[in-house]
Amino acid sequence: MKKKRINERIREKLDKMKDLQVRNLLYDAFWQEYLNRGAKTWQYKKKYEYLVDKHSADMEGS
Amino acid sequence: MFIEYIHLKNYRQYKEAKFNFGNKKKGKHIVIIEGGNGSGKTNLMNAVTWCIFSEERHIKKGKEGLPRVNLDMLHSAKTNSIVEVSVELCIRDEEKKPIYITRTQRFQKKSKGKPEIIPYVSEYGKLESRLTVQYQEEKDIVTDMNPSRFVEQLIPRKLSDYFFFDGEKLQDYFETESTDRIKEAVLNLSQSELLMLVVTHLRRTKKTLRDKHKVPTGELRQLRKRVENQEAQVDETREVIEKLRKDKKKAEVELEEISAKIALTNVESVKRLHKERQGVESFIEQLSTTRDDLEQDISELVMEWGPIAVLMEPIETARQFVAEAESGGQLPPPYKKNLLDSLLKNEECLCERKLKPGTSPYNSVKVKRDSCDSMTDDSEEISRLDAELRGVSDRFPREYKRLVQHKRRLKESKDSLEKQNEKLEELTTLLGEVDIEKVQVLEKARGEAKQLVDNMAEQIGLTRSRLQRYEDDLKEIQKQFKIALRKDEKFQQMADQLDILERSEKHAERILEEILGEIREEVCSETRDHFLSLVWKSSSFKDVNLSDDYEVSVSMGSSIYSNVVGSLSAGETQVLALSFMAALNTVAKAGVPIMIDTPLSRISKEPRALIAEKLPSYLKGNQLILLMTDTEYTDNVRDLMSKAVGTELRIDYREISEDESESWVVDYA
Repeated sequence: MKKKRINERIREKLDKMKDLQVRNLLYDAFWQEYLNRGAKTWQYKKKYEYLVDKHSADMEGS
Repeated sequence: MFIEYIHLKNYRQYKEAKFNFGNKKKGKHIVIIEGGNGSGKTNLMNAVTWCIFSEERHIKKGKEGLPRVNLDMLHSAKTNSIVEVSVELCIRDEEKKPIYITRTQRFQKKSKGKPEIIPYVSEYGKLESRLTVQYQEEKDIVTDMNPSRFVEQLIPRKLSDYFFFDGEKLQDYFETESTDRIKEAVLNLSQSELLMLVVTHLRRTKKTLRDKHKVPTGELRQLRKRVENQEAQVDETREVIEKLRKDKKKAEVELEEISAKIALTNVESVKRLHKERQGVESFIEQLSTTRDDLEQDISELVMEWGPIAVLMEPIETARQFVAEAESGGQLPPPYKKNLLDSLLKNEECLCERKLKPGTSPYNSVKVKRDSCDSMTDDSEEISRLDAELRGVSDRFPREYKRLVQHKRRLKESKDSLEKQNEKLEELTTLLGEVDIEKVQVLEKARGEAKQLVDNMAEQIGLTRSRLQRYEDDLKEIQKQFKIALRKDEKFQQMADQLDILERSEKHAERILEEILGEIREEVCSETRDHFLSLVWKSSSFKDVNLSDDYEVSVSMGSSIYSNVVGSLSAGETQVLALSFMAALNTVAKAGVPIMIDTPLSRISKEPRALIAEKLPSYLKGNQLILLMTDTEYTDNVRDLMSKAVGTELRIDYREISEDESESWVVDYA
């Protein structure tokens, strides 16, 4: 469901990426932007810091 | 995604009406709702936009002040009683699961005058209307806690003009001030806008991350400062470009307005000369773009291949030398140390001859083993370099040919540009000599406006190249900062995090650039294909083009018209707009239902049949709801569209008074 909501064109480009660490981070960041579309304000700072923490530590993805 | 039904209760002239479109059948993506003028087609579209966005975008002139509630119901209600208006949409998502979107509003009848809206009280305060969203989760139907946000995610408000629109106003797409809106819509439809936000937020997170850590040492602190200053300069330059772009757009609108006034003068010769000049100007614009692209390509080719051209002779000599050495057996074979080690250990050669320590064969293998590291490396390095040189040497003639061709094309473009500029000057002089005061005033104003537009274009170009330089410098300083961070144990984590942020930003930017380029190309080619297949005088139309700013231009004969609305007939503009809209939606792959009010109203009888025949191939991935009058949906049109029509409904109505009528839905048959 989560993936289906992301535009096919963007999904294709992300899926082709070889740098898995970056791909996973971009998927998550994109999904956050999608969820917060229409929200008057959203605290992107905390969310992005969390995502960077999570993915930079993810050695399996690298 | 498709609409299964629209259910209206007490909404304007509908006391109760359910437009049931049923399940979407394969290949039957069109829904027809036929109704005469004033039957309530436009209000059905208003009901849909009100339900989703709380806005009625298409209220007809003179009807703005009428209350939303059904007047007949209101008249028959008792004073102070409440009549509820509701519109419910049942939408099926990609997995065919139902989503119910309902908006309601309450009206209280007063003894005199207009009814009063009774607001709903919620935790956010008083609301004029209430939106409810329910959807299926597993087997249950659940109510969404934040319905406005749910709806915004499903169909963004900004895009409503591209899903629900009045066929008669389609030409608005081609006005200069609309191009920004169209570009914005493309970004929205393709979700590229979200990707842009990802890039912006990644950039800002880098700054947050740098600020979060205390950087005590002198070098690091200095480098961080330099990164920050350079980033600020890049941001500032980006803003300057955006401002210049907006100013240029304004100047272009002004220029277009003056041009429209010249085109409207009653003097036939002025009109003719002006039209010709517009064609020449568009052509000059295209030629200039081609010239700039070619110059850019040539400079890149020269930068990359120029040094190689100088070195071609030594490259060939080196390759010849390697080939001779190879055939002469001078290049040692790539012995492997491990293999030789195992031979010495087993004291047996590959030919099964014994290798006893101290004997000459043993010593010979040992010598080879001891020297084989350098021999292998040299050998491998030589063959690697040779392969590289072969690649260069094979590609060089092709690239050289490309360079020659580009230079020839550049000369042709420049010659052609010179001729067109002369022609333009001639036409402008002729127009300036027209002895009519109004024309002279307009011509002067036009000259000034044109000058302004040209100046701004030049400024944008210069600022863009400055930005490129700043961005390159920024990359270099960021690199130095990261190297300095890595030297200190304490900052390893920060360096890792900055690293993933930079990589992500770079990838996201690249994806964005690719997507935007692909989308523009595809929108252009889809619009061209649809338009040339639909338009009835296809032989006179040669091409359709789309600028970087989503400005559509059409070529007829040897002329190119960027002022589409002024150059095409109303019907042709309608077809171009339909083609453009279809292209935008197909390319964006948004899959949202599309509703068009009176799509064929401006098209006369014969072309209408052609369009009806081709329309089913439009927007196959989207549900297409067409609200048509009986004069549009003729028997012939119906026959031609039948293969793609899944549902046909008709709106019947009766007039009660000047302001009041009653509409209801019936099966078409």
